[in-house]
Amino acid sequence: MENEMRSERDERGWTQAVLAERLGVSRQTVVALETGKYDPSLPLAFRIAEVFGKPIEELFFPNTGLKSGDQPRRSRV
Amino acid sequence: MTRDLDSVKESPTELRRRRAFRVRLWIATGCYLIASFVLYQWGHTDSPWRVVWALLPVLFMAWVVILIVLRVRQLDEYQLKLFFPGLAVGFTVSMFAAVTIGTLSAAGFTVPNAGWPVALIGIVSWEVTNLLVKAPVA
Repeated sequence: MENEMRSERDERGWTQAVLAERLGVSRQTVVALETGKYDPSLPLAFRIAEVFGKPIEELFFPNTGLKSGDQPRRSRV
Repeated sequence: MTRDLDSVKESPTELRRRRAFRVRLWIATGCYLIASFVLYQWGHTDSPWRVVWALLPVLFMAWVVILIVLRVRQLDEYQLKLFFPGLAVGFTVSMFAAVTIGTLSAAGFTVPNAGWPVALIGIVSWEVTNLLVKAPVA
């Protein structure tokens, strides 16, 4: 699964530690989420959506296999 | 900009929890070592209180176990995912070591202080697995 967490955090000027604090998780978890190493549980995904003030489907989308730099195809859940 | 924001600093809550755990763990471990020393020095008597003396260090080990359980409850879902392989491997290897020592004993071999090798092998295999899966540092 791909996500827009890193760019959303970047837009807000938050460090990974700040985002971790807001989500109530560790910085290690934020790194794993942003790099796609870990897909969050549904409750955590909802918390992430709440923290960024965006619906889940605008933050997470299925892995399309596109290369880095390509625009991922967003699919509605 | 994102790179500047990717500091390696932990969040304040994370840092506070880890420090608190380490301080409590060191206190409990220190108490265990002191109790073990007391047991070694004065525990070898014929006093009826000998059993109490002998089991005193175990109370502090129980405290360590409680501290670890409380710490595990503070971990988030990803950290838990990384934490459990170490426990699973540590448990399996410990059981294997215990069965091996039991088998040797059954065959007539004398294995001195057999509990300690089991504990040591379990802890080492747990920690090695933690390193391999990059489990969170407590």
